[in-house]
Amino acid sequence: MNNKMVVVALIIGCLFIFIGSVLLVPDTLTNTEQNNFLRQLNSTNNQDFDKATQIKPFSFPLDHGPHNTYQTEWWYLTGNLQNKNGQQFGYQLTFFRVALSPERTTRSSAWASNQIYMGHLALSDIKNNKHYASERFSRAALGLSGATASPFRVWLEDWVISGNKKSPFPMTLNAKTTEFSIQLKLDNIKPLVLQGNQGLSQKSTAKGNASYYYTYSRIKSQGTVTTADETHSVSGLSWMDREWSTSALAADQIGWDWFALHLSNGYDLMYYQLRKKNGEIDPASSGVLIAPDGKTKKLSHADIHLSIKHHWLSKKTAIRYPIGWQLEIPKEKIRLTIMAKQANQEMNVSIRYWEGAVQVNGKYNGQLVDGAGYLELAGYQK
Amino acid sequence: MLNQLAWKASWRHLLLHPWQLALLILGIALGVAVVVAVDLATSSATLAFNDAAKTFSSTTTHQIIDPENKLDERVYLELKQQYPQLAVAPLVQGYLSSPEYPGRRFHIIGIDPFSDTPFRAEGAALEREILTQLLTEPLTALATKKLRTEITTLPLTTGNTTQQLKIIGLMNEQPGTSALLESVLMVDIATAQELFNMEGYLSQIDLVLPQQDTAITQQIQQNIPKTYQLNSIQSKTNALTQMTKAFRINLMAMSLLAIVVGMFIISNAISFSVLQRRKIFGSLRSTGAEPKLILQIILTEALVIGCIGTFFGFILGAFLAEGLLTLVTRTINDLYFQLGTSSLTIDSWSIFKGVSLGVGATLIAALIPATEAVKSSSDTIIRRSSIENRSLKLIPKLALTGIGIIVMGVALILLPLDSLILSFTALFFILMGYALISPWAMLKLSSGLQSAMTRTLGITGLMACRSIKRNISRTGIATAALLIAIATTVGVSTMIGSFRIAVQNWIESSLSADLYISVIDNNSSSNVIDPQFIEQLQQRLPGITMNQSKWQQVYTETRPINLLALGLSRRGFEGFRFKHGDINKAWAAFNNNNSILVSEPFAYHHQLAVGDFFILPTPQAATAETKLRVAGIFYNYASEQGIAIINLNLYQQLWKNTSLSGLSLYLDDKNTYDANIETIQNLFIHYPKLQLRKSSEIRAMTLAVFDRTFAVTDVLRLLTLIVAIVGILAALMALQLERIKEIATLKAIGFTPRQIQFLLITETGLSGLLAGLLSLPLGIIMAVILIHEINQISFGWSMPLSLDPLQFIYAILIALTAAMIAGIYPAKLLSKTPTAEALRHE
Repeated sequence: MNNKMVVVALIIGCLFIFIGSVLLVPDTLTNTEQNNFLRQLNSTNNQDFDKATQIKPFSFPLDHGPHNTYQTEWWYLTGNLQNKNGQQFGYQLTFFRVALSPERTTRSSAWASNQIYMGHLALSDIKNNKHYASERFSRAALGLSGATASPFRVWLEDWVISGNKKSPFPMTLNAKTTEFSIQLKLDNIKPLVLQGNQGLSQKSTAKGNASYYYTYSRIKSQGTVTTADETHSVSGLSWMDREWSTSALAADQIGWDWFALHLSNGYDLMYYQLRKKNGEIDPASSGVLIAPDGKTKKLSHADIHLSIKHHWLSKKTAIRYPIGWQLEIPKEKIRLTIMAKQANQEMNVSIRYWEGAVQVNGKYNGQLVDGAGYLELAGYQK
Repeated sequence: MLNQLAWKASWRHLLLHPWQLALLILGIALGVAVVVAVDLATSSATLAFNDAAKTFSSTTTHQIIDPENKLDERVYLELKQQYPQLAVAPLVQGYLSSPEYPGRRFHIIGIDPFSDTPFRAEGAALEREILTQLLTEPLTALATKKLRTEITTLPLTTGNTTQQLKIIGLMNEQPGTSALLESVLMVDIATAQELFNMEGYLSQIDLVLPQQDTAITQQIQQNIPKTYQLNSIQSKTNALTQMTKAFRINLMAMSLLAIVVGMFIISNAISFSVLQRRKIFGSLRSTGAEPKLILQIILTEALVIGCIGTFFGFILGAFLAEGLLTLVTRTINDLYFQLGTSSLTIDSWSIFKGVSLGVGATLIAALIPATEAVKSSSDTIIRRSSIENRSLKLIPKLALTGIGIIVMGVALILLPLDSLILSFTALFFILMGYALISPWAMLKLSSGLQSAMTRTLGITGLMACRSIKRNISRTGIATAALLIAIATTVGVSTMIGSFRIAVQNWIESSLSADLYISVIDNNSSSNVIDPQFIEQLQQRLPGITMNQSKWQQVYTETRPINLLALGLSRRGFEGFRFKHGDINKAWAAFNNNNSILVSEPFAYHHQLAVGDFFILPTPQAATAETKLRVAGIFYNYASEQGIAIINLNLYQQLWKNTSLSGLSLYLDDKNTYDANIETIQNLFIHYPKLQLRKSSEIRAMTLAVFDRTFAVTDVLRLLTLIVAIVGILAALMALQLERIKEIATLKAIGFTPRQIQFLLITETGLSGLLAGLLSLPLGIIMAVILIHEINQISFGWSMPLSLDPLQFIYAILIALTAAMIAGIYPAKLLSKTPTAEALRHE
């Protein structure tokens, strides 16, 4: 009788295993693959694109427009704004141009294009500790997105920055999502600064691992920002970076920390440090100090002491970002504490990074200074 | 001690009768297999149905389409500019065939991966390299895993050339949708425009409009060109569900039928196995076994066997389902829309049904004889005659109950409710009632046949007749199962046969012209015949009689309407056969441009009678409607949804559109017939999108589609029949094998082995014959219900009942043969068993 029970148990067991396995079949088909579109901007297959290998004379206004033969390009606007009650906002509007192939093939459909635009728009509402972020893509076809140098205009659907025939400034900025919107009038206070070596910004020692890079560091900004609750009249300072390249990062680099700071004494400071996989900082890291009159001083890796003071762990992505820093430039007698105005300014879009408004406090040449700026932390995902 | 003995006795009995055990398991497995197969196939098809609307537009609430399939892409750009916050996506799609896969059509969907993200997950999930290729290389596509493993490049026929579509990546396959996507290729919108020569144009624009905000919907409606339509997906999905409901219910009914037959077979097999051992159980009882123990043993045994049977049933069912699914999918493709080839999806509900049938029915079937074995005194259990006696007393009662159930079924049909479920319930009541009457009818028939059998076959005939009466408790259920299965075959075949004849007659009368010209693919690009072609045709064949037509799909809240605008001569009009309405009056009204002709299903679905008004939505969608009087209801089996016909002049007034989608030509002069055809064919070379069909070709095609449509029903019916035959085979074989002692006695009194064989085969043959005969009236009743109730309700088609005597003969032959085959093995075996040993054996 015992044997019989064993047989019964076995048979019923088999039956359940069979049914169970049948039931489980559809689940294994479930695709858990996440968003991996454009995880990295620069594809490795880039031989045929133009590269930033040598110093080239810039030609404006032409160079305000797109450089389609380079793989990647951006128009990068960030800024700190506040309303008349002192309520603070940080914003970012970036247009990325990505060339999918070096050459445009002739095709009969107007939709065909080798250029696509990606837009990132973010607003940090510091008082309410809220961060809005939005991302868009479009192909540069049928007028859906694109850029022109003269008149200056970069657009992705209804996100637009535009200037005049000769210059990006005075610039109007208009960007809207269902949640928030930003409308600004922008005018540069300081002239354009060529970064690196006359605009050629080396990102590693390898030739061609470089970009063409220029900056409008101090831009007077005025307009409105609208959040879910209300519209605020705001004013403040913005920063605009223009960069185009084909292969900016070397194989052993994993990311960068980029600082763009407006100090209360009229100085602007830009510094980026390139991190290597082994934890070291690439000596190609560099920056610039821009005086109130627009005069620049190059900063090299050796000039800067940078240390992390504070980390923040994103609950959404489990990525740990260093959002508090100490920055020292002994030869300029600068010592600054840089702290995120709010921790959550993570851009959890197709490329994950942290881009946010920071508060600056410290000493410059023995004098107390403060200020605000933007910090970009890229490549922290494991 | 006794306990163990009792368990062993049951175990040993089964092991000692491996044939019976195998037949028992086979019976259960077959019952489960049919149910599982039908269920899996239908539920997979249903799933595909449900996903069809969702997959390609999961969040879409509205679509902008151009009836001419030439939607200017600038409309999209304007929308994008005016409503930057709205999710809007352009789509260019069409169907193409491939020389590599004859008979299969590929659905090419051209998307813009960037604007498409809110709609389909495609764009967001793409690897950069694949996206790059898709966007920058012409003729690149994404496909399903399955298609991608089969090929790397797919040749596609476009016009006169073949283009190679390179498959570079995988589509995003949501679970359960792969079936649907098998013939789908996702391409970049640029590639799609180039493939279909639609540069500058779109097939449709998908939109997500806020549900509560009707203002924006109206705004968009007003802003798009008047000839375009803004349709809500809601109404489209509703229409789809409406359309396919009838078909799904039909499949469901088939699966219910399979359950009924499966239950009969299982209960027959298991109750026989218990009945057979009443002696063992009797002996156990007399030696002091508790009734509880006996019950325990029987139920455990039933559970084990039920599990094993169910297990095999599932395996067999899965195989059967694969085959069935292909047929179901084909029917869906023919009748409704392109599904691709479906793949099997197994849902827990089907498994639940299969297990509860296999294990549950087995247990219930075992419970009845088991309780009986337990209740009665040990003495009477041993005597089988007591059971037969009781059964004989029970039979008239069963018959009365059966009559009661039939009356209920008839009452349900007479209720003036047009409900499919009710009609099917009624049908099953009648089936069940008839099955309950059948043992009584068998008895009466066999005693009626007694004298005739005696006269023709002598003592053997008499014995065979009487053995039916004696064995009714064992053969009754099996014969009833066979009877029902055969009746179903007769009923369904008669329905299909009547249907086919009706379709044949209809097509003969309606295809009055000789040649029909249409656009090859009305899905891709435009379904408009080039006006130049018509001009040239008239130049080359002056004076030819030509009817012009234009198809237009019109969306209403509930279902899409197939509107056909016809420019007809009186002669073409004669082709209509009117169910209601007078042809002369209808002709006059048709030319007055204030009336509409509707097909029978159309009238049924929209509840229209001659003289009623029908409100036709016209292009200015929200604002304009046209009230038309129904001038006639004509027979038409082409569309289940039905067709509405208006005068071409009226159409051109309402739609401000003079394009044509079809021409029918009369080539009256037989002398110039061939020459004219050649002229037309020469002209066709310049118009690759047009196709020419002779009326005879259309006739053949229609019937081919018809036959394919009913292939599923046919296969299901056959499957049920096979199960029933195997069931009766198992039952009769087991029964005969039990009669060792009886046969030995016959041998002892002088029967030769030949006579024994003859007797046994005659016996089984007779019960088969009786089942066959009894199935005929039921079959005809079923056919009547199917034709006049169920078909009418689900499709709206009516047709006269036509009986085919050949069908009836087949039915009887099948029953007879099945039963006789069941007799052969036991007859051979029993006639060979040595008499003395067999007598001692008991």
